[in-house]
Amino acid sequence: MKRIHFILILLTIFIGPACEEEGSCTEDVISRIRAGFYVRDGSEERDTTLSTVTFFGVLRPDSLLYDASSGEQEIVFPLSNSTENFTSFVFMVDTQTDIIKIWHQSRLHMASYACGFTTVHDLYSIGYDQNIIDTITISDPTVNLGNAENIKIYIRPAVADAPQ
Amino acid sequence: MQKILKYISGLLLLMLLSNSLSAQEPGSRIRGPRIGYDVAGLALLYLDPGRMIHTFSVDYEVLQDIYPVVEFGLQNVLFDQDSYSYSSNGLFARVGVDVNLLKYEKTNVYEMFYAGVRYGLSYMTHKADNIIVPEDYFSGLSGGGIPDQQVNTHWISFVGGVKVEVFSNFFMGWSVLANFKLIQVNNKNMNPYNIPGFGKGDKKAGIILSYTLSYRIPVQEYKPRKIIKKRVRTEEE
Repeated sequence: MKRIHFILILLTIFIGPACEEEGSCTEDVISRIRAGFYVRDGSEERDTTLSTVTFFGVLRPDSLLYDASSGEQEIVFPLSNSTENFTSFVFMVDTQTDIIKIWHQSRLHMASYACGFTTVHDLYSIGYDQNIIDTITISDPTVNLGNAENIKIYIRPAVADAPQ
Repeated sequence: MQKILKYISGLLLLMLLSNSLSAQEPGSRIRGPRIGYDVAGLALLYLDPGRMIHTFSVDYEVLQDIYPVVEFGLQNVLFDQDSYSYSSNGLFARVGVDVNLLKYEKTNVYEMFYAGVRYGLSYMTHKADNIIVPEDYFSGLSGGGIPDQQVNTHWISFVGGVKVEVFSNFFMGWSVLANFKLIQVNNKNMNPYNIPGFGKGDKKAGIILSYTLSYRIPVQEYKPRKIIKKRVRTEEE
């Protein structure tokens, strides 16, 4: 190959280093816990749908996350980012009320370089009243930007099956 | 003053070496360490202003068409976004070999169209400050940070490229490196923005383009023992 061919290749092919623009952020970067509703009938377990669910943070009675919502099979809600290691919620079905207290460890996690950081919460314990709730179990302790169900709320059969 | 004298005498020695080897014997080749700098990094001033990388290379023709290569460099990243600031510092090295694929007719031609392979490794630290996490129900978080974290990465690169001797012992060339990550050790809460010598921190593979200016220090004239599939045209022909 002649030298001139090489020089031409050198001059024409140089296109500079590849550069991927980070672009603008289109993601939601708030991690939310997903809680599904279930009922246990003896050893059987089935999911259930609740009508008239009201749900809000204990410190935010003025701002409802769910306001007498009907047909809810799951609820999705944020946890506190503060250094306190628990967040408390009020859970109401019709006229009955339970307080749910979720203990979690929060840590910063980069969502993407375009969107910045989110807070990932690692759940380690849940306390609750038992007017509506039978039990609560943790199915996935990592609350992040994914869609996995984090906790299962087992409703007392009497509440789940009551006409609402 | 002593340093300047040393520098000048070094240059003179280099020129003497170049001149003494310019009158080559027929069928012989000149070789010596070829030292290069990748000027593609300068394009980042426009394309990615928060990142600065310097890459140097040294190769040597141990046998005709066989060039062991060492590439090394450093990279700094610093940028501010609305919701965080990020910085990183790191070093890297790639070690491997290039094989010239050209079949030229003379022995004293040094143009290269080559393929090669590298083993790469890098060490870097990175951190983020002034982090703001928005949240519309509870209060958001502001002023958080992720302190310095270490990242170690190993990868393998396949290389292809061209080199031309534009003046005596002075070369220009471009190359494409296809990088495949083997190991990356870092805290999963934050992937590096860019791994020195490899590319995007969250990718398992990537492409890097380089454009290198290099100078060969002509320290030795030698006759290749065997030139497979290459016809040697000497001056007697």
